[in-house]
Amino acid sequence: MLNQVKPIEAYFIEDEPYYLSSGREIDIFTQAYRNHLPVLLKGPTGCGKTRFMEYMAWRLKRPLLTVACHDDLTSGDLVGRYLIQENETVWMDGPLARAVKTGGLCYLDEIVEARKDTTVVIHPLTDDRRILPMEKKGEILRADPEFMLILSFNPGYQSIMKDLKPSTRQRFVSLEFDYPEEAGETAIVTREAGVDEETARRLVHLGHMTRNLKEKGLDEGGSTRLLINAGKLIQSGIPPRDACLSAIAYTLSDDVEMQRSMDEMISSLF
Amino acid sequence: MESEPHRQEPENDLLSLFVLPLEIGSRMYDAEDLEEQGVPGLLDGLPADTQRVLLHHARTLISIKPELGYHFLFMSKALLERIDLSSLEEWVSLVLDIFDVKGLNPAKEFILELDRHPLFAQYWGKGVSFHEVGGILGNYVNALGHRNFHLEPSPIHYTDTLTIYLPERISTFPLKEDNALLYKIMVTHKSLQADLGTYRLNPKEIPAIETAAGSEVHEHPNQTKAPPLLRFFTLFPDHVLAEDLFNFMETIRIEGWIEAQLPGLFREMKRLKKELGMKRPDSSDLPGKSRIMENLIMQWLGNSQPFKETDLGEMVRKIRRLSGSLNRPEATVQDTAYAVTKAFRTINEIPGFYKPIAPVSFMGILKPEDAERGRRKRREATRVQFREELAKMLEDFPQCEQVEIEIPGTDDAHSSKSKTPSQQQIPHELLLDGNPVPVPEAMRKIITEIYEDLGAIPGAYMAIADDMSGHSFRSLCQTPTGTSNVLSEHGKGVHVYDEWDYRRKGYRKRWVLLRESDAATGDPAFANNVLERYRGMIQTIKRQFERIQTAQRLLKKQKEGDRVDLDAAIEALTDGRAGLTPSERVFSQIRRDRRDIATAFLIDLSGSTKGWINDMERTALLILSEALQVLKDRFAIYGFSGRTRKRCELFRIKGIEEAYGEPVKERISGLSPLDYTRMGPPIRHVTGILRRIEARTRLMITLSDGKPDDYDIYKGSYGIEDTRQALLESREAGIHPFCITIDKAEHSYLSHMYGPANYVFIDDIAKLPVRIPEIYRKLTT
Repeated sequence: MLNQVKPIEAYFIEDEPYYLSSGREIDIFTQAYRNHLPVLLKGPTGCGKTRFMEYMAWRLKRPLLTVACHDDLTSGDLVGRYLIQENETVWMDGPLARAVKTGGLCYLDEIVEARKDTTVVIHPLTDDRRILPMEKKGEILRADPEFMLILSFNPGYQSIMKDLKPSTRQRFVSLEFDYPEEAGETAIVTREAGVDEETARRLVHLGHMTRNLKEKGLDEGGSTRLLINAGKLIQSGIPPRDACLSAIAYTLSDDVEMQRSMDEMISSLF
Repeated sequence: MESEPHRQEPENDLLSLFVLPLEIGSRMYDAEDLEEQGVPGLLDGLPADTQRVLLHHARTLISIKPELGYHFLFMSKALLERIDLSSLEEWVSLVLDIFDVKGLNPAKEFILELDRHPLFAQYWGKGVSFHEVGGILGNYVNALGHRNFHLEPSPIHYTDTLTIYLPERISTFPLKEDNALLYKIMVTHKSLQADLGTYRLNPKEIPAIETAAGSEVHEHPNQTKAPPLLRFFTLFPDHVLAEDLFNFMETIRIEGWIEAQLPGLFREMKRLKKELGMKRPDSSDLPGKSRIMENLIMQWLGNSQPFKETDLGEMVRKIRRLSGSLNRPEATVQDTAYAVTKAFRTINEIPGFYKPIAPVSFMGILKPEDAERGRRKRREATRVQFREELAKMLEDFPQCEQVEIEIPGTDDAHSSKSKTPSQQQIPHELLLDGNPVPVPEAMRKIITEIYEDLGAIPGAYMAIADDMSGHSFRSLCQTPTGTSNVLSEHGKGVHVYDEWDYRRKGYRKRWVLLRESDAATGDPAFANNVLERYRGMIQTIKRQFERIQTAQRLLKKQKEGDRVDLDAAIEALTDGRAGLTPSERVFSQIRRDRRDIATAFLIDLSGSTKGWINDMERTALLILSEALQVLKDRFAIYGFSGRTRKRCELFRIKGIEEAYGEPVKERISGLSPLDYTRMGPPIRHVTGILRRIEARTRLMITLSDGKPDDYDIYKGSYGIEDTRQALLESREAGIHPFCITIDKAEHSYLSHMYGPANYVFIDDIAKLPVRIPEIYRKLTT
């Protein structure tokens, strides 16, 4: 079982992912890739960072290895470890090592969630050395010219425990992401949720309303992803108001008064 | 005294209702007593129609028992905030029923207790009060557009474009939901009056309207200084009719927007309009002009009853065609004005006067003068914001003395029709010395607002911004006279600090004197009161804090622990097989996180926090301190105030190692507003205090009510930049600064000063006691 590792080919993205550009991010990313510079994607949750990565992987025709970071993630999970197979030990590369070897794009999603020591293994990969020391194997991997490291990070969290250290941050080219403009977002919701344009327009309008309340009762406004979720529920036959309450209002706030305010917005729109 | 000429007309004279002397309780009152109590003016300010209805009911009550009528007159204004004029009859008959069955005192109680009386709730309990929906609608209206509004209860429903004034209570409909819906429609309608520019009639259009309106319309020369809308109304011989037509037609334009953007609300509104239509008073004995107006309203409400007279019917159709054209997204207030002009000419063909018809409650009234004042206030605020933003952009061009600023496309913005902002081209770039510079988001919002207001950015705005950026800064320094305001450098507890001068990009050495001293104690009754009153809330917050405290974490790869960490064990095993030294960290442990946090709270005690803010600051501090007992986090509280660089005061309310107890409570109770807000020095001082504390996480939370501001030069950019610098120093020292700002609106300088995500602003001061513990909890987990 264990040796059935997915071949690296499986990490190539065959079909063009739907991505609507809203600035120069594609150009900048492409040039960062050509210049061997790591990239930091900043932006609120659910605004399209991960989708952008899929799109860029497809466009650059490189495999994409995504790691969703969590607080138990260790450097071994990224670099690799020995496993026992049929009475012998076999080294198994972690996603970072695989990307380094095969010239893939390694995308560490929500990096601040990972344990602080994890970020240290990526440092030598992010300057001109471009190496990955594999302590356990006693090897130093030199990165393939096509290899690229990408981190994502949401600066909106107001917790001091979740900030990125300057020593890490200052190694990256940063791309700022935000929710798309109204027309673009409507197009995205229409396409992704499969709803008609009018419904999408109303959902986007609702999204804008909730974003007007950011820091005025809401920690964050409704993301494009939430709007798409609501759209999907509507498309599956849930009445719009219930869909929006469940997918957006109750998700964004536990405060009863705020939920009722959002209910008023929803009932105004639908 | 008794023969004052301004006394009301005899039929309105409340005194004449009573047979004097009047016996109330065991006392006799004569005319002079009643006058002293203000009886003659009890109904002043109410519309004549309403007064007439009230008088009618007062007479009924007086004829049965004069004392009931007497109390009724005193309560009548408050009563009308709770029930409709049309429900008054029912209310009066209930009073009389109680009187018949139970006697005078219960009937009197029923009158005096208003909606607190159980019977009242039984009959009119379906009403909704402002306090029930105010909070919900406040969020709703702020979500609706990019502007922020305040909601306030008031006997008159209107907006000055800053605040929306709403009735204290609505009980028009038998269903609670419908009454709440009426509130929502009112709020939406008023916010759209502001957003869609009901009050932004272009004064340049007035002469053209004058011409279009024909000979009967002409403007008084002394009117030209008045707000454009008021000028517009006074163009007409009967400006009440013009105003009613305008309000009606603007509502149709606003409704068009609602139909397009808020279809759900539009649907509900249609239903409610029909209900409102059924409640309209009979109009058959109104004069001709009023009947036309009433018919227009009725048809619009969806209860059409065509005229028998064909000529009147034709007139209504003509006006409906005019107003129908306003139901387009591109229609503007100028279009409404032209339509009103035409409609007025049509109605004016009918002889006779116009008697104002019953208003439609959610349309409210128009107050052009108040709106103009509101607009000025908003304009001033945006102008200042614009200057600050621009000055910030200009700082990147320090080398040039003169910066040429250009806004692309400003010339065509002067087109005669004020477009809605979405149609307008808000520039994405500014030209600084001919180089395009992208407009930051905060700036774009401000520019949108200026465009909405003025149609373009006046050149003067940019000249001043240039001045502010420090290229040719004029000194504002005035030191107050007298020595008592100055601290001595060698005084007890006095510290000397540098201050950042952004114009020279350097520190002014040994510039500020700050004294640290113990805060004065106050009346412990305040603290006890708060702790009693907020007991429930404190319990809730404590429970929330307990949950943080008991948060458990599974620590993997430990040298010792209660169980084997399977992943680590396998790894060690395989490492061993592969010839590596296996790790001995193969256990897992469940451990409660040790919180090692030290926090300093810095409380703004400037004069502007006087009153309500200060009360809530003290309340919030007490609640927070109570709750923090659960967490055992170390915390300090300091208050600060300043008056020039020679006298900054820092008051120790609770030292970081000091236990929370009676002395601290007394010091919190004793906090009172003092002078100005010189924020840099206290931040520097507290940074020093925190720097000496051993803690994994050191946090400095500042609570203030706005911008740094001191008596001397410490204003505007200077104050903001020094505060920013002090915060940067604090961050360098490994401290996390965070700011809570109490303000009505978010300002871009906050983000500049604290950095994004390092501040939060609270617009509703009443929420402070809940929000501060919540913010603290979020920050530290």
